Amino acid sequence: MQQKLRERYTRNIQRVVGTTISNMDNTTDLSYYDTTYKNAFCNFEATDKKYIGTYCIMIPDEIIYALGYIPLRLCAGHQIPALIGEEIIPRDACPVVKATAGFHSMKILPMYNQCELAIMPMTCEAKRKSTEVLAKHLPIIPVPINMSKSNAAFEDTVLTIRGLVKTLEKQTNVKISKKRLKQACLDINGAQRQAYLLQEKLYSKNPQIKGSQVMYAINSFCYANPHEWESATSKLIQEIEEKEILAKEPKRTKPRVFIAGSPISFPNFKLPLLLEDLGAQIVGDESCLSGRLLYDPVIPNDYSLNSMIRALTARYISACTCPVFDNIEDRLYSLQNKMELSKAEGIIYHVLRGCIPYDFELAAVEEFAKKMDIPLLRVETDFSQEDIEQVKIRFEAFIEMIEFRRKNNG
Amino acid sequence: MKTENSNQKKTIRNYRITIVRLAILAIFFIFFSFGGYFIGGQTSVVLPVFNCEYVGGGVTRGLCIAILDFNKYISETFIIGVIVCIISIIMLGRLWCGYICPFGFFQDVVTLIRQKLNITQVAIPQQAKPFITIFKWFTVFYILFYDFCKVCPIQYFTVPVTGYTIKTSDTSYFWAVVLLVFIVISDRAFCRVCPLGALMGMANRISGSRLKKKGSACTHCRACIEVCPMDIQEIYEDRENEDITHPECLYCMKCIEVCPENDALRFELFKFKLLKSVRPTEQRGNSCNKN
Repeated sequence: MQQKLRERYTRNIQRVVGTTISNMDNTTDLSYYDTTYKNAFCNFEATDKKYIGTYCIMIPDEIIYALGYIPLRLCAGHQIPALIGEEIIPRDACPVVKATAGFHSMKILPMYNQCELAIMPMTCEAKRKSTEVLAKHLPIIPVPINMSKSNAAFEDTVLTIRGLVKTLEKQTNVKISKKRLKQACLDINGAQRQAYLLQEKLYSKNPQIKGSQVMYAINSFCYANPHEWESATSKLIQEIEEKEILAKEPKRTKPRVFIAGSPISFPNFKLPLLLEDLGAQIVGDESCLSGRLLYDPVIPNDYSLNSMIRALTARYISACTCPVFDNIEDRLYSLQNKMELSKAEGIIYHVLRGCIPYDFELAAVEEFAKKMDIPLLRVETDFSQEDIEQVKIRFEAFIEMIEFRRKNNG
Repeated sequence: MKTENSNQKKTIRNYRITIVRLAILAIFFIFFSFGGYFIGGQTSVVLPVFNCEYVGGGVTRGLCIAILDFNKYISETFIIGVIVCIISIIMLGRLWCGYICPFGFFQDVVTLIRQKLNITQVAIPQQAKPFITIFKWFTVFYILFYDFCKVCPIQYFTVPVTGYTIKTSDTSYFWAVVLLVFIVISDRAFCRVCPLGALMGMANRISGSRLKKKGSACTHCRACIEVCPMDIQEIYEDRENEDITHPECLYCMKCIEVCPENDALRFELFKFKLLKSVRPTEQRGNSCNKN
């Protein structure tokens, strides 16, 4: 019985992963990212890697690399474990948490099994409460984060992160040295620069890469080695640049759409793929697992442990525009900046069912979009494929409207 | 794979502006400390820097001694020198502090050594800021009405470098020790309480050197405030005002150097755009190295 269940799980996980990988447009060479995802999700043999799990993008990966562990982004986008998780997590909670709990209780993926402990930033309700659920499976370090961006709150958070470093050192019996932390900062900064350049390619008038491909590539960083990811991405950028030289001016440019809202992570690329099937060009996103994952660089004042931890806290928490923070100002300004850079003509506001913080900020973002004269469409969905037809109809109408507006505005 | 990456020398921070600034500071330091041997002392020229009168090869007078001895040496050429000095302050503001002041150079060198040794900077708590401000204005009061040379700690740093020794009083020796501790643990510690800086800071409001910020491009990543030697919070917090020149700003441009957003921060000298922030990327870094 147990064996049968396991087989069914593995079969279904592989099926969903395989579908998303094959649905990606392969006019650009994405093979490195494909293998990364396959290694992460389709390999059920135990490896010798040691992982430390983290939620959200508020725990510095650099600290985990400096300890000699591999950070594992627990936030999952997989529909099969989300179904399993439904039995553990309340129905109205967000599917990301459901999927994570599902993966842990399924116990089939080696990266989840080899996860020695998990660091849980206390961000939104679902993540906060899920710590107790996950505590059944592995040791948890809860990290309270001050939901304010004032100076006092920052100093507070720096102390918290320093405490976290001490706790991690005690738990793993490894001491974090300046040298290793600096090396980790260098590695991730290298990847971050490439990610920024890759996103910049979408801002051009006639982008030679699809937005979904960029999201796919950046999201794979969660499961990749920073060095390899960096060189693979720099190759991808070179390929795009070669294409840009040969590219001809198209007769009519595609409607430019920006994806805002809840995280979109592998293998849940339903929305971007659907949008592009309907002829839109995704020109950016502010999802914390792609657009914002590698956006800000770490800039320490000097390379002492204290300064580096301060810089890491600043980059991971101060610059974060997650709606769990107490004001929306930062997010609206960063949206405005991205709108200006990408010249987007429409915003798709993606709300994962149960993701309350993003839904709360919808009103403010709608107002902002009105001021910028950009139409906005809210789409509430989850990881399942059932509502795909309904979403498609709404997207079709939205894209048509953008084209209509273009005509009217000359 | 790995070797290829390690061969390529990567850095997190670039020092494109700091290198130029330190070079200018070093040239002026040599000029102020040894220039007198070559071009002789010009006592009628007054420059708004902390340049000790007792420095061996001093060229010009510092504004500190001019304020102290204003009534002693009062003469026509001296007054012209002071007026020219005041005009230059009004034109440039505290740009003098960041690029010319010899004691500023000394502090930057200490900071550079500290950073090379990977010793952290001690963050000054927010609660201490009002006391620092009070102390700063007390030094202004002191330099205007008392004999500042009797307590001035700077003579123990800039004068011995040129091969001379001087000891005006034991009090100044005490302050020198205190100051040395603060210089080691914090960037530009003396500039926070410098009496000349406090007076010149008033000119920062109207001078031609302007530090400007495009509020909408700022992501509040705190990079600027983390490197600011004067801990000016406004540069990070302020989003509404375009002109964010603060009275304490030394125009060291470290904020512009580290700001990762294109055009978020810029420096204008008499409306002429001199510097702006750029996003560091590998491509740009490589082309720089080739040049």
